[in-house]
Amino acid sequence: MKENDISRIIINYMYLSMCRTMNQVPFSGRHWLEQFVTGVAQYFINEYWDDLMLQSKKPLDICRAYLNTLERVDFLNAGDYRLEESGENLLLSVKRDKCVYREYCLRAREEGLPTFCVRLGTLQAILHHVLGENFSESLEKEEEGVCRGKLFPAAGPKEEIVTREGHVLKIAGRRAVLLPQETYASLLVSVREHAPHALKHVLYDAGYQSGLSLAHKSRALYPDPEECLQLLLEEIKNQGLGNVELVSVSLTRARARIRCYESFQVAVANECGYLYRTPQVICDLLRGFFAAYLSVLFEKEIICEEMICQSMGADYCEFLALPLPKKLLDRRGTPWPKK
Amino acid sequence: MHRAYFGVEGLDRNIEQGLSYGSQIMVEGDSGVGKTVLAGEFIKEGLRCGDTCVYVACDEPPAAMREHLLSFKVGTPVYEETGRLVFIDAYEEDGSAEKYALSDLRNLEKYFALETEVLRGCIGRRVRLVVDSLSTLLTNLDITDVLDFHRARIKQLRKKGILTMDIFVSEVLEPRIITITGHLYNFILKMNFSGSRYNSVRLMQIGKVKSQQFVSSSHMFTISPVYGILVSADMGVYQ
Repeated sequence: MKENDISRIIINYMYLSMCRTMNQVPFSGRHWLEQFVTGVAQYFINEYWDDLMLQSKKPLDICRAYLNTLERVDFLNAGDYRLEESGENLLLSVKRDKCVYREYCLRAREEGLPTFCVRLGTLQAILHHVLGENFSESLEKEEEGVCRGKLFPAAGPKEEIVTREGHVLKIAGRRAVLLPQETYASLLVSVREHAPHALKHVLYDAGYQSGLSLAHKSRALYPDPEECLQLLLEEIKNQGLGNVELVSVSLTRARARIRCYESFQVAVANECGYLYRTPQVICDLLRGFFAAYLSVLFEKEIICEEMICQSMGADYCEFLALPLPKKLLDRRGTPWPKK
Repeated sequence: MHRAYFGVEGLDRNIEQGLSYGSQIMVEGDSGVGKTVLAGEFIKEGLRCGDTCVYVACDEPPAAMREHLLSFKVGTPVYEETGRLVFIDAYEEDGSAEKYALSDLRNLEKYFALETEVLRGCIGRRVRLVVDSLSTLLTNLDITDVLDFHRARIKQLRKKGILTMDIFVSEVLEPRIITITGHLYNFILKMNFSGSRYNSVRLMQIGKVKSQQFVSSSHMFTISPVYGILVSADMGVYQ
């Protein structure tokens, strides 16, 4: 396929348009984009793939054979893609200007859309087709014009965080509900009326407990903690809880700073009035989520506090998470709920 | 104008207008009745409201309050790291590992200087100061010295707009000192055990000293390991 082949340009536009549309679909646009990519690859595999061309059933050979098939139909130059094994991982690199999907990828990043590497996605599809096994993909940061990614065996079948089965909506395999903001607000007002002293605790514990199950599920799918954290934060955004941004994270020191713009809890406070007597931080549910996520990802007890809140006039809510001091843990045992 | 509360629902309901920064609260109560728990609630509320909280530990090491706050799921390390929660060790005379520690527990001037130094570092912020308990620092000192220290200190705290909670353990100081110093405070909270030996209840009285009389409303309260102080607001007995 030539550089300026119009069909190639249109393919890139299609992926870009899908990416943009998926970003507007509530709940997990990235997952559906992945489904599109592997679905397209599956059609190609059904028409053009022949197992006889395989030298072995090693993932490296399968992927090489697949790239060669694409070269034979004049879609790409297989030599542009470098494949190598690293333990159970399969590493792929390509010069950015040689990638068939570069326009889509670049523009999606420019527009801040959730990106998904189409090339890695199609290799996931062929590996699943030949081996019947699931692989996950991970894309590293681009360096000196070279894109690097890896494929690795997935711990379990890849399923989406949020799914719908008929009329039943599920989050991480458990039934979920979609509530209008006013229903949620009236729940909070009721707790405030009947047990004002319990409100903060209820919200924090609810966030922590539900965050734990989601974090364990995600961790099984995404072993890399930073990638898993990004995915979990993306889910918060997808679920409409707020526009969450990871400001900084240190895996070695087990600490993170997270910001949330337009937290739903601030919106609820605007709707049902102040939940507390004085302006104060109110996003305890989110605080619970973050504490649970980070406790699972860092594999130690993490405390998370909301330092500033949009409800108090700040531009955003900011959360700071640190490990619970070991000497305090040793002395008392953890005060936080275990999974 | 920003108003402050204790962070105890049943108690805050009684001070609808809240507390202004620069006012002083005297908490006087029996040993073990829950004064430190109340101090913890006051600090928790302050931290949530964006205040900087300074806790002076006189009866136990600062670690005790750290653990207490952690048991109520307050991430003290986060606040300490960001300078929003400051501990002053007025318990361990020697070998304190704290950044701020009082070297001579019998010297009010040194205490005054240390408190002033810490508060100077909080200029421009809303500050809550808790001294737990001030009566320990004032024990066995000359009454004139105590009153001079008290007047000068409260005047300074008021001027700086520091919301202060001074805790006094009952029967540690002469009743005369408590009565005289009580006049200097905007609010007085008395916490006592009441009832029979076998059926004691915790009672809280909140009010002010007016013309040497303590005018207050009384409320029963309990201490929950999860929620802290729970005031039975509807069971109030007005004197």
